[in-house]
Amino acid sequence: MLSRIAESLFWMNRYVERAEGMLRMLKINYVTSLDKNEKENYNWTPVLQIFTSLDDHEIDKIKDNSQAALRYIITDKTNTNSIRSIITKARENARGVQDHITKEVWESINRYYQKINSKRIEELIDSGEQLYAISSLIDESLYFYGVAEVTMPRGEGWNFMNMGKFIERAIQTADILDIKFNDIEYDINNPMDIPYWKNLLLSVSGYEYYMKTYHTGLQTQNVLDMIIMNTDFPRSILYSTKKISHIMEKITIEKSEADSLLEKTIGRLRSRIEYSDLQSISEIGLHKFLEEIMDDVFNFSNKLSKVYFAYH
Amino acid sequence: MIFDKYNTRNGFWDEMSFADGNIRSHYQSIFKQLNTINLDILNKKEEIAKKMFMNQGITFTVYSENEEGIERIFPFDIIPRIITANDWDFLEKGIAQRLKALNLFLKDIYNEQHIIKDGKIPASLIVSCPHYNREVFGIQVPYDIYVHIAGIDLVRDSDGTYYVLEDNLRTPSGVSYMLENRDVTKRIFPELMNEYNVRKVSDYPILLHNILVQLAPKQIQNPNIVLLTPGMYNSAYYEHTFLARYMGIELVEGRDLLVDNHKVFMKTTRGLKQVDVIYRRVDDEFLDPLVFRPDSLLGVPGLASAYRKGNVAIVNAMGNGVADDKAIYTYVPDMIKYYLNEEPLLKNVPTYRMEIPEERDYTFLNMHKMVIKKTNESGGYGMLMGESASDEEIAKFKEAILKEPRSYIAQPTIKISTVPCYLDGKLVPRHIDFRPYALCGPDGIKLVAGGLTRVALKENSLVVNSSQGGGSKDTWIID
Repeated sequence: MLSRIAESLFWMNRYVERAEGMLRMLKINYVTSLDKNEKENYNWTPVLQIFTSLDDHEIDKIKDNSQAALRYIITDKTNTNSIRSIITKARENARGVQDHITKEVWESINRYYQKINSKRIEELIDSGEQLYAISSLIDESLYFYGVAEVTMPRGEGWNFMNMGKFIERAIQTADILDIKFNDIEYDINNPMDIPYWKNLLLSVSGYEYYMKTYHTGLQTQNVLDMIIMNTDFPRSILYSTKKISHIMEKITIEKSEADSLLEKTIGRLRSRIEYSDLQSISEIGLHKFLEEIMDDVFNFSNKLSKVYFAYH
Repeated sequence: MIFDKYNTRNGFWDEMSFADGNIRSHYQSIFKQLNTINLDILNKKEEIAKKMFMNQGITFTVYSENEEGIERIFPFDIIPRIITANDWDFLEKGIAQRLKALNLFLKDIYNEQHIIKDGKIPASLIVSCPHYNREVFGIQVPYDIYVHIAGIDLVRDSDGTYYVLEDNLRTPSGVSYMLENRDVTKRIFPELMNEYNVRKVSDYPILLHNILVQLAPKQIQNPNIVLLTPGMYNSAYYEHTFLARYMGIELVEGRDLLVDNHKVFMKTTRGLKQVDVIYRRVDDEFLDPLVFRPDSLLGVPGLASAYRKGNVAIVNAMGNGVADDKAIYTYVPDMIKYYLNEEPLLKNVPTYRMEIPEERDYTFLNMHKMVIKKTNESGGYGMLMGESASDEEIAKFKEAILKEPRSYIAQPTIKISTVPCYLDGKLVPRHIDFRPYALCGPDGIKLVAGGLTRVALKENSLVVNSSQGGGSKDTWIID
């Protein structure tokens, strides 16, 4: 497969995954902002800090205005990290590889693009239907993944698409965790209770699973365990890392030197997470632990693009 | 009778109807059918056709002052244009003759140049042609074929005579519309297709692929053939993906290729893979920044050197533009006599060269009866329709001609023929041209029986280019 094609497929899915992660965060934050005891104190500062490159002064201007904040993050054309910009990039990548994706996949990304570019989304945000706007965009991501799953032939292209998806997901999960634990100064013995963690769990669609799985023990530590190390939870860092290393094995059939170097890099990361426990994480320091994971994933992603996408 | 009032334009040849209103025999079935069909059903058929184009993303990009290009569908008229087997067989022979001579001309002009030495074409005309490409002088191309694909534009004058308007020997486009139009017609008029014996067009990608395979420099089982596109922002990008898909070849951009040791490679996830044949849809001047435009990002540095060494075949050959320069076009009938010792079957449109003072004077006196064209432009750009031009526009063109006489030619306005189109619930005559696609390989010249009929959808307009509001029709060659 042409390197350019592989790279486009990789980025198409990275962008869709990124948008989905952002939308889930927005949805939870928006819902929270409506609760009685949150209402007065709630503002969009943390979300704007994570997802935009606005400076403090600019953030102050819109942080108390849900409509303005959401419009900036979701539909603003001038914001290169808005959902609209990200989906436009995903669609541009798809457009360049139309003969390598199924017609259905092309149509689904095209549909997503048409929706985010329609006046309708802005109207919904302006008319108090923010939640509906966000949910209907999340639906497009789900539709895209479903269509890809059902129609795409398994093979190199499919592998690079999934590689993009899980690399993005691993980074995003680690990032969200890092930000949330920053608020409690990375104290994994902090006795914060469920209400505090609810938003984090909801934003990674893990609330229900958490309630069913963890019954005893310190909530803070349970949350960490699930989001970092639970192998059945599809947004945990370990789950994504395992996926990446699994896909890597499929990509490297010929086992060149560069291939095995890549396999080693991701294998090392995977076993580091697998053989970590809360005590060892606590010894290194949670912030450092998460930072190292993100560095390793970035590093792996860079090596991957050098080996497979680089225009030698 | 819903269409009892089909009024032809006075003084023009109509493909369906005689001047007295009688229907030509090969159109009688279709006319009868159309006249008995319920209008709602006809409208529904039109709706289905539109949807088919839209859903398949058969669009081209129109660039405007806005930052983004707009994707539009190429308007399609549902009523097929019919050409009789008799006419077609004649056109086929005429095109093959022309293409044979043009290939010989290109070989000659880039090698011994007998035609100049024998005084048949002035050397000054060749050297002043911006598309005469010194970089490819003396390069030996496989089987001496330069033009593998030609999209020859034909029109019919008021007495029904066919004329060649342009030869399009560089990177002619539109063939995907020929194929898609037929698919749509099969969907909406199956009963009509049953009634007529329509020759098929669907073999085109296979025929082209066969030629590409035979051109591989080495005799190998599976040569690596690629289609080189300028990229997704090109207006014909849809066609490039279409053809790559149907031929099962890789669609590449310049940045996917590199030249090492005079060989061309594509960059894949498994390393470099050698490329044997390039069907390029990138113009000469952008192909290799080392020898042509240095600012081009669309091409591949070193491609010309690999081509010169014979390590890669390029389709169409580099340097073909000299043979479809509109001033050199004047000499095609002479080429046919010179190289083939035959009388030309197809007629050229009389053409006045603006660098010849007498011809220029004549043109200046008759501007309103002329079409002025730039010798090296295509796609309806750089053109003046004298009939409808304002005095100001005419003055502007005269000035431009005097400045660069070699860059312009003039032709008398041809009263190009009309066909019935179904527009806004009515059957109305619109002007058309016809572009069949000829393929030339080691086994000779082949045409699929059909082509693209382009329609000027505006009433009375004689300009059929899609950039100027033109559409297209399915074209039937019937036995």
